[in-house]
Amino acid sequence: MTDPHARVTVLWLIASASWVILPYTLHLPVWALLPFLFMAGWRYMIHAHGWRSPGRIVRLVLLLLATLIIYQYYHTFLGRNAGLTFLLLLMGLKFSELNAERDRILLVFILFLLILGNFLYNQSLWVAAYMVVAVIACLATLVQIQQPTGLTVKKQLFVSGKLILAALPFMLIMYFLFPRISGGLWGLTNQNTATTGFSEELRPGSFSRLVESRVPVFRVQFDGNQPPPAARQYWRGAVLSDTDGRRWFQDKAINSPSAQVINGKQLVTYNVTLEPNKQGWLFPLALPVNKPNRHIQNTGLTLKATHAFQERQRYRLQSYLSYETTIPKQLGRYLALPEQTSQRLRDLANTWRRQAINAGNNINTAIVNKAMTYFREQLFYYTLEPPLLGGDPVDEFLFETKKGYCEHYAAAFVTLMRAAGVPARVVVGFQGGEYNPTGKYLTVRRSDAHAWAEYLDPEKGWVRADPTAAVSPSRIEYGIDSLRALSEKGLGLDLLPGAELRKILAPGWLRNLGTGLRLRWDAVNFAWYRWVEDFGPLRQEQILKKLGLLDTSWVLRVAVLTAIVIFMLAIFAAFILRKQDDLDKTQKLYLLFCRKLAKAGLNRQLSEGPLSFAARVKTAKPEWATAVNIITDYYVLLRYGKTGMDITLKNMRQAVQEFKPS
Amino acid sequence: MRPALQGSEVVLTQRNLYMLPTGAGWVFSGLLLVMLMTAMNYSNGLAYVLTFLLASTAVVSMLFTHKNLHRLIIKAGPSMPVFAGSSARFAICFENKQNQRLGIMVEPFIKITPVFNKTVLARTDIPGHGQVCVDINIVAKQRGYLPVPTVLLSTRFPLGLLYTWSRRIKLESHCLVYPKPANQKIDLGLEQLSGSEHSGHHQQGDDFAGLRKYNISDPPKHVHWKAVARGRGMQTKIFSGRHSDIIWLDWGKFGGHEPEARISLLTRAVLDADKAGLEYGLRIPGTIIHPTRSNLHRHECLKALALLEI
Repeated sequence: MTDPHARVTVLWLIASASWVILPYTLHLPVWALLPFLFMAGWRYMIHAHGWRSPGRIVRLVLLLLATLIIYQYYHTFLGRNAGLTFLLLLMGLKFSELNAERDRILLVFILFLLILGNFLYNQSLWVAAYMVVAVIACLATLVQIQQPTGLTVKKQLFVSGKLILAALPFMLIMYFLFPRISGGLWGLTNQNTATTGFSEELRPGSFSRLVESRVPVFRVQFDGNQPPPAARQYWRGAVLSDTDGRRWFQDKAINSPSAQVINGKQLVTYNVTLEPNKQGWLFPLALPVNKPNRHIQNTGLTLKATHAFQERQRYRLQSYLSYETTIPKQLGRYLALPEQTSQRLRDLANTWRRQAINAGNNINTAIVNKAMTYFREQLFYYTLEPPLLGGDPVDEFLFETKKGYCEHYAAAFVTLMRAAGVPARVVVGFQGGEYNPTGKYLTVRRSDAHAWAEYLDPEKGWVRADPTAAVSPSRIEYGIDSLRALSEKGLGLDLLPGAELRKILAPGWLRNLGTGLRLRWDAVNFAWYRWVEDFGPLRQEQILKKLGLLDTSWVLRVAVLTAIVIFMLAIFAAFILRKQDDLDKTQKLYLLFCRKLAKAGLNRQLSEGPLSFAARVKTAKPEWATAVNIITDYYVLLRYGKTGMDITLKNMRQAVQEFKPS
Repeated sequence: MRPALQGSEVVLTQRNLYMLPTGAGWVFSGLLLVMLMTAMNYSNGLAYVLTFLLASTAVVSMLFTHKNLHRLIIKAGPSMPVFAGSSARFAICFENKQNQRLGIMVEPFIKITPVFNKTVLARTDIPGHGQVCVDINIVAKQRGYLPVPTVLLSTRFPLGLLYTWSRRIKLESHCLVYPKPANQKIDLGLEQLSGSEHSGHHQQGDDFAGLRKYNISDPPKHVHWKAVARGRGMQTKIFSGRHSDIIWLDWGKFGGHEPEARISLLTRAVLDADKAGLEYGLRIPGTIIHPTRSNLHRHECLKALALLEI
């Protein structure tokens, strides 16, 4: 067992296995690696120091032990964690039995399965890049097992790299055309805990600081690529109609659509990629027209799924940017005020109502305008760090602190409207987002969360009113990030004229570069997500549609795929098996050398051998003697000798190329 | 079955190469199936990527394996005569006009599917644009010409998942097998020689007797070099010697034996006479080789014995 080739093979196996199982330390109990560490060590000692191989009984006992341990720990052998842990143990134990070529090949096959297992935990670009190395190493190990002689490590990696490169086009075709199925085969899919998207409740004054989270909530791609202007990007989440004076919450009783969109204009079509979300909310732009599937309910002009989103989802949605709605029959809920509503608030609202009635025309719109003017003129202040509020937050905010963010304004506005007799409600969702010019999509993050209001216009139905826009137009126009940038500079918000504001907000070159890189990286990741993690039956349909293969049976698809693969293979075969010029490389170089000399007037006679020709050239031109000697020697050596092919061919090429007779 | 490729030089082309998965190849396809099921069950994009990448690698390795034998030129190399009973060594030479080929195996032709064959006569790597010869050893049982065994070439490079083999190859080349020399010592009839004057360098006597035309088997020291220098061509000096230095190895001398045994005894006699430095002639049915002494002469005698048909 001290065969040097076997030792190299074992080292290859140990190296490949180490690389493959390293990421498992993040997901599985660390003891699962012990058999590998122990057995690989033993195997190394067998080859390096002539230790004895473990006997059959030892191996059998270890296998039984591994099986018992798995059962004790997981109480099953099925499922991702139990299965992969068992596979890890088996892989480690396989190192105890590596004498036959068959065993070594089997070990590499187990490694392929373990590479795949890693993807069940994480499908990111990083993991993929890491595993490309693993695949190359495993293939190189197979090459080493097959061909223990004649290849350096570099050459082995080169051979496996070449195989993978040649395989890539075939892989892509199979990847895109192989019929995908929706859902799992046995429903053993992983259960990631979904992250919370946004809050279904509004509690102005309860938090002194907004959570500054840049985690994306969803991404949007618009048909025609350009998104609507930032000021119109209102992503509608939940509608909150009920309040106890401190909290705003949605009415659980609403199960049927309370209003319908009528007279919609400016239709926008877009694809939403939603991150996992516990509540199952979708965030359509303005007012949604369609319901993407039957699991999604359209309640109060909002979209909500019947279940939580465990994984990323993609939806194709349509919205009207300009619309009117039907008017609900029962308006009591939208006029209800909490008992604690202060007298000065009611007085203020009543004043507005009287003034509006006197002015005639559209009373509701007039009242809304009064409120907006009030917010704009009464030195309300938009801040991301408002003071905490007490028992009657709306009153306190309106008449005392006057400092707050969207939640405060939305809650105060709706309360004022109801006090003035205008049916109104709060809408929570997101506003704005970051446009990624590289990927041509918009990213909406948690920090883009927003709350605004809707009031009922007797003619148009529900109309959006955003008091925050009245107080802080830049929040809407430039987005929440700009406000953060300003407050970092210690500048008051909305105190500067637009041009100056834009100048201040214009980022420095370094930040510009950083933003550019960040956007690009996000675009790469998003593309990765769309084409790898999310590439399911739905996305495949889109591609097949373009190929004219829509609505075909999977049998036909597999047949088409097979035909394409065979066709590609034929082309590739023609290329790889093409007749190469029989004149070998050495000969070609020598003929080049002769052509150079012929130009200088020294033609080689047909009968003249390389040596006699060289002698004649040296007599005619003694100054070329060294070069001619070297080239002729190389030629004779390469053509008729045997050693050092690879090295000296390079030398000869260099010598011939450098030879300049003139 | 298609006939074997024959000739002194054989080129392997697409039409005489075959391919099947190896045992490991079948296991690998099972592995791919498991991976595909996993990818489907978990709807895992990267798992699909890996499965299809490995499947594609196996598919393209078909071409690389095929290419490993494609357009390979096989020639018979020289082989040295051997005595029956010992091992004949054939050289099979590969000429490669393309890039390096690795893991080329020479297998004996046996009448089962080569995939199951485990015997390999030789294994070699062939340098790019170069030539390499491998030796194949086969026990020579009979005197006469031993043809190169029918072989086939195969390879499992690069991944060992596929096995490519060639049509069987019958190279037009053979090894001469001398008869097996008899074990017992032969009475060469040397006792006829009177006295002990006989010694190795007195093979032909000392007296110059004349010149004759040069014969390729003549020892160089008997060439009349001075005449060569004068431009009269090659001539050999003849010395008159005692007739008793020349012996005849005669078929009739071993009358009491079976024909093969006779051949065996004569072979032994040739070897002994050669070793003793005698001039010897061979007289067997159909062939008479006149007495002389040289390596070529020894070969001629042994060859005549090897090919003697009874």
